[in-house]
Amino acid sequence: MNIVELLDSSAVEADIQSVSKDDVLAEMTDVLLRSAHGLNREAVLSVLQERERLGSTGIGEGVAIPHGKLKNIEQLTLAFGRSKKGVDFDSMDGKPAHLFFLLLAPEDSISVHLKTLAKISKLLKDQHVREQLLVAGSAEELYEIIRVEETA
Amino acid sequence: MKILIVGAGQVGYFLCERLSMEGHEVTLIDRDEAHLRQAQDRLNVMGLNGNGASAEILEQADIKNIDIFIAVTDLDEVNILACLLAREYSVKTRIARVKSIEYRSHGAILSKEKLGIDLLINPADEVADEMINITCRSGAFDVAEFVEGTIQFLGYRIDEESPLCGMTLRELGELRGMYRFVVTAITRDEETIIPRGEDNIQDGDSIFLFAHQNDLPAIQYLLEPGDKKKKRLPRIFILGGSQIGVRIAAQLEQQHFDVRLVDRDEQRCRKISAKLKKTMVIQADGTDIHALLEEGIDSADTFIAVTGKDETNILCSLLCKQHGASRTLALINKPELLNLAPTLGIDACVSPRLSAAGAILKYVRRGDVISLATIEGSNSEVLEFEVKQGSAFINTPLKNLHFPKDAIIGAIVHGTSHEIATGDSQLSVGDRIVVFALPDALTKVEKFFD
Repeated sequence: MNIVELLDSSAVEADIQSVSKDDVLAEMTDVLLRSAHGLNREAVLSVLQERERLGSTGIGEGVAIPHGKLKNIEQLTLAFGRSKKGVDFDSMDGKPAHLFFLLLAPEDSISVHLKTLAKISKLLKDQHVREQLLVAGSAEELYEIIRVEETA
Repeated sequence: MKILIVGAGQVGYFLCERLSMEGHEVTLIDRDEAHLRQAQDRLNVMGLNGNGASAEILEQADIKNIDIFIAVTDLDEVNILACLLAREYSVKTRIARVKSIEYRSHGAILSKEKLGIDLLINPADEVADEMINITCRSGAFDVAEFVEGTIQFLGYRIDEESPLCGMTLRELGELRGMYRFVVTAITRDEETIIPRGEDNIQDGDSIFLFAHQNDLPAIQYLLEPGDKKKKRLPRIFILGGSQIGVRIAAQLEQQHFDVRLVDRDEQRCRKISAKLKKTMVIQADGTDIHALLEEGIDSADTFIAVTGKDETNILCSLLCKQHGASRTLALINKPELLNLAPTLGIDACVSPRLSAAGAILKYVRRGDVISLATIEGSNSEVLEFEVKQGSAFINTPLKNLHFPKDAIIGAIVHGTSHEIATGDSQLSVGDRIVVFALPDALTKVEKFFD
């Protein structure tokens, strides 16, 4: 399944305000809730924080992919956010994270979850893609870049 | 090197097979002519019929020029006496298998130092340690540690529920930013391959991976199927109150497992209760499933069968698995059954022979090869090397090296940092590296690092 099929355009935020790791997780959860209305905010947040405790999902080069497994959700849900200032996310390379993909998966379909995680990771490893995402003007533009680059 | 092995039993045969295959000059001594002939017919070794604890026979075997002496007969006394003789002939490395002599604990009356033996191997202890290791790594059925435990080598069985089922190696590579591990081997239908690129992981596979110990919590989170999370202490059932069973129970109760040990002999149960602190000792027959259900076998995380009989261990493992035990480990002595048991659905089979032989091999080959593990059912090995000054391959990306096919560098430890090897990784002097090699590539790999 493609990333754009799982990412609702309302769950894209071009201007993440938070400056700390905990705050950015909360803000990204709110972005996700714009498209996934039924979810319990606290439950999502605790799943994400629990995963971060095992090791940061900041993969370096300004990218972080916080993710977790949740009971009682129907399908894989994504949100995307960009911070211009950057956030210290305890990333491998020590650099601040600017691009955030949040990914939440039902507990019983972890395989799809991993394949999507791999796709996102691959997409954001492309320097050309990262540069475009960093300079894009609006959430619509961000969504369009993801759509175009994913199928490129 | 010139190696002399006394005892053509299971351990001796296995060691002869491995060491002769690696090009060592191996001489084998045994009193049983049939055993000896079998080894001579199948392996490239020289056989000598006689008593390994007799100076005359040892001289016939050219003991004065032997580098490594290994005594692995069924008799402790013979092994120890043979090693004492070897010391008189100034053999540098002396190894003995002992079954009933306590030498490890504090206050043991005999020790390897007192006996002048470099390595004393007790198969029961080795097998118990291996089972403890496997039990402590949930989900994994095979475990070995490298670079002082920092690099872990883990085996997992894949079923259709496994998160990794259907993933290609390329996709897993994409995840390496967050999940730092590498799958170095897949065993499928009794064949072991080193997977690359578009190879994928399938239902029924056994996979073997390398990871750094610090990255294990995240990896276990990834690999664990969703609903199996439990809050209570992991519950372990051990069947068989032998030396092995008691050793496993003692270690696991210390590591905060909820341990229940089952033995059918009342007197033995009473003795064991006195030795163990927290373990619940249950007097019952391993096949008495009603009694075991009453004690909670249906919620057991791991069932470990270590009675003296392979058949009992296999049967009871299957029975308990059917009644809800999540994972089963069985002690298997007969080599023929060792390959059969996993196909029946037992999660891990551990053999005293392989455990002891593995430990001996590891010791014999610590030179350049620092430590080593043997993979069940296949002759593949994991080897650890240290990069030496003057090596030709320093500071060259791995993808440009002509590294032997059928082998793969898994992890590299540079001082305090580490990485999972990729084509762009480079080696520096002093790095410790861990390599997985299929049998054909073993010698090539050792030459490569020589």
